[in-house]
Amino acid sequence: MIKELHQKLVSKEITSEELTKQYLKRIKERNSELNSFLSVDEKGALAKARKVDKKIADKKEIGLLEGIPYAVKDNFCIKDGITTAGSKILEKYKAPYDNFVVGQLKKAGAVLLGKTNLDEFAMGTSTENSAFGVVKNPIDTDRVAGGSSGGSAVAVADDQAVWSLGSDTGGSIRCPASFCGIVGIKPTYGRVSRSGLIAMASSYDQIGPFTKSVEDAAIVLDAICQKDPRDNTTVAHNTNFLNNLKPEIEGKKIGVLREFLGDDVDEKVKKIIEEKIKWAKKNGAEVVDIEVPGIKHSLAVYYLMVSSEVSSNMARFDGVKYGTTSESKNILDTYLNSREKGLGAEVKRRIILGTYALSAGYKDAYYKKAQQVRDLIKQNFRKVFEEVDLILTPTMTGPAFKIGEKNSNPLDLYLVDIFTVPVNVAMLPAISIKAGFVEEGSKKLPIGMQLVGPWWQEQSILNTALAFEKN
Amino acid sequence: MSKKITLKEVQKTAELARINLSKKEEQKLTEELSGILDFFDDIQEAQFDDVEKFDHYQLSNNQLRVDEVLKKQEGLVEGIKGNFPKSKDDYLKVKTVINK
Repeated sequence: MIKELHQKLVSKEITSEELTKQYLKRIKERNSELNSFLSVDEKGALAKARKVDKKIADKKEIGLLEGIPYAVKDNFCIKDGITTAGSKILEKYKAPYDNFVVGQLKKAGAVLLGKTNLDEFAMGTSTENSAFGVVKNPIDTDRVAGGSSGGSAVAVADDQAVWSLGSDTGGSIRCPASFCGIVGIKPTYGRVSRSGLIAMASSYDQIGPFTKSVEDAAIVLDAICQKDPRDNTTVAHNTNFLNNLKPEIEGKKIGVLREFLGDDVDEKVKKIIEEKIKWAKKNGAEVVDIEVPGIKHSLAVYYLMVSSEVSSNMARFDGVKYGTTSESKNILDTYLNSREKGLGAEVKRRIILGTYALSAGYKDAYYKKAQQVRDLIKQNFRKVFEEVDLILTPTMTGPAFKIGEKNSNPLDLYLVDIFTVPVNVAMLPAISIKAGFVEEGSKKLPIGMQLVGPWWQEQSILNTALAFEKN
Repeated sequence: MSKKITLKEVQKTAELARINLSKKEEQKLTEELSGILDFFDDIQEAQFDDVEKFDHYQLSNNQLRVDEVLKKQEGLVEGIKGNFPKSKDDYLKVKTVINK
């Protein structure tokens, strides 16, 4: 889609201003119902678009993303605008600098339309935890869009942006991509800089794109995978995903996690995945059952470590230096009251859980032990990737669920992340692409499949995903 | 090490985490956290001897940055000050830190 739009811009079939206006119009029409955007920068977007149009008129060459409208999740800091992270405590927060990736995209001439809704501080699987209301699934508005990057997924699925960015700590890109029927990638930990991304769990967070196609995902990845001195987890790898993109299925060795395809997974989802496996075999892939010892502990490791890191990262939101503050008689009460009023239930739950897990006496039994099990899982994935090129799983255990369906017990919601979480635990790259539909009444709800690859092998993931997409 | 978290522990932890909780929230969290902590016990069953650490970066040398002052970002200081809930002259104004 990006390539075609680029072609239209270059051939002057459409101007960037017209294209941008088209998307702004769609946002206006749809946002009151879907709640995907928290803020829209019409003026800034149109100014940027006109600049690109001027460049084209002057016969200057433009990049692939130049003049193309996109959106970012509202936990990306953007200078001057408001960055809420979906929280009341940052309702009026103006970031003093740009997120690194957004800064790069500004330089590349991409047109930023606005910022999308998310679970508060990216904590959630359904975008029901936003302080600014639930994001609705455009395919069935009684259902969730998935989370935590729900707004970014809806923006792309509902044609409110050509592509968008989200962040993925335990599935926050792949889950909504699956629920909304689009492409979402969580790159290898260390591929994309997080500087200027409001941190949730620093040893898990990773930024990635939502797109309509695998090719578009390659284009965006090429633009955002860079070394950044302000995030020392990033590495200087030269990537050229787009130029090396070609469908690959013949001869690929694909692993299937049989033990995970149990009763928790919707029968219809299993059927769709089996069909995909059959297709892969027919087209020359070798499909084998695999086991990753220790992987069943992933969810416990994940929620334990994430809560712990959350409790530390959230300490800065205390109403003193920025954010919503609660007038109190002394500084301790300022902390206590600002956090009471400014933070939502899920955020408080995780902070308290993490504070407890990190407290003296429990630290070794919880955080340290979880870290060891994480190392074990990582090590076992390495052994599996000596045998197979990729692992294929459903992205989620079922289609998008109904709004409010999983609100009674936080654990219920944690358990739906079973396929996405191990990927973040092991710091691996993975993609979610549309694999099929299940019919619920008159609605066709999309089902995503996930391809997981070894560290830094995004190219292999993209190429095989492209083969599946072309099917 | 299955254990139930008590109301008192939740209150103490909330105090350490600097969050005021309502009575209702305290009750609800006590129940919820016990369930989640039970779930965490899952990792105690993980079987392993010494786990060899695997570093997916596999870099031959450390990532070091040059020891020099970074160029000041334009508008950064003003941006930070602009977010102060209260300020006096160039300073952030806060409530009493030490009670008399």
